[in-house]
Amino acid sequence: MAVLSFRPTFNPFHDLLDLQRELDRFLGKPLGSDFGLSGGGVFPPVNVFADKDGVVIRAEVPGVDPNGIEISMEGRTLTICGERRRENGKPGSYHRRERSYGKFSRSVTLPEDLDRDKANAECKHGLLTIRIPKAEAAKPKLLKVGAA
Amino acid sequence: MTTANELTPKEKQELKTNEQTRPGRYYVPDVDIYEDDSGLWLWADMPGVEQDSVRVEIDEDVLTLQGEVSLRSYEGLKPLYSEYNVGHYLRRFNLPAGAFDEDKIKARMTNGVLELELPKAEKAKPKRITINS
Repeated sequence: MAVLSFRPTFNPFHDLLDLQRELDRFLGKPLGSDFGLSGGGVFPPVNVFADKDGVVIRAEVPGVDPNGIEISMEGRTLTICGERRRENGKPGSYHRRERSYGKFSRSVTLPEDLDRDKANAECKHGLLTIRIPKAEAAKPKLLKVGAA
Repeated sequence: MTTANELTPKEKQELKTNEQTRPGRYYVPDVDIYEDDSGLWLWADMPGVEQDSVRVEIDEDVLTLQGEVSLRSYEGLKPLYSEYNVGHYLRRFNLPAGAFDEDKIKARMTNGVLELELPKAEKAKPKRITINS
């Protein structure tokens, strides 16, 4: 009796360089047609990963108050909104101003096979992580081959 | 009349000088530096870096900021699409030696931003000279 498994295997990243090379490979590579991103050039830049349960969207939002981030879902569109505020409004001179401030809003169209109601988000250390599991029907199933 | 600022994404600057011996690309964090009569303030963007993974050092006239990201937060994740890469952060600045009261330097990590406060040493503070008539 044989068992067929469609579960993908994930090799752990050996070190940081390994992860960096993997991310390089997917830099700007288009996702499947049912996944729509508003395109590069909109803050925040996002990375999309697969884990054993579904999809994980990650974005770097340093200096953004996690309580002020609004994530809304309308149909298949997930929208991330927030604001980065200046820390210090004192008079005096800035020697350098490399960091930008302001509001942001980014939309992502999610594929059909995700269970949008079970999505959850967390923001820690300036890293926003949104997890959306696959719908039950789309999860990989094990098929048992019976002896006749 | 002011319009709301729209944030635009910036590409990360890779650190090309002073290579590190451990494997992995380092990035130069964006900073804001502000100064007034009492001291210098610095904010550095280091998303993904936790408080315990930050190292701030002053050696003579060089200020070093270092932040390490953890591979743990990528466990079990397989990239499908990426717009940015991740890596440790490192940046160095030259400071005038003796200008800051090193015992009073404060560092804090909030939402992936390192905030540094360097109060000026008494002798470095501007002194007002009164003119006697």
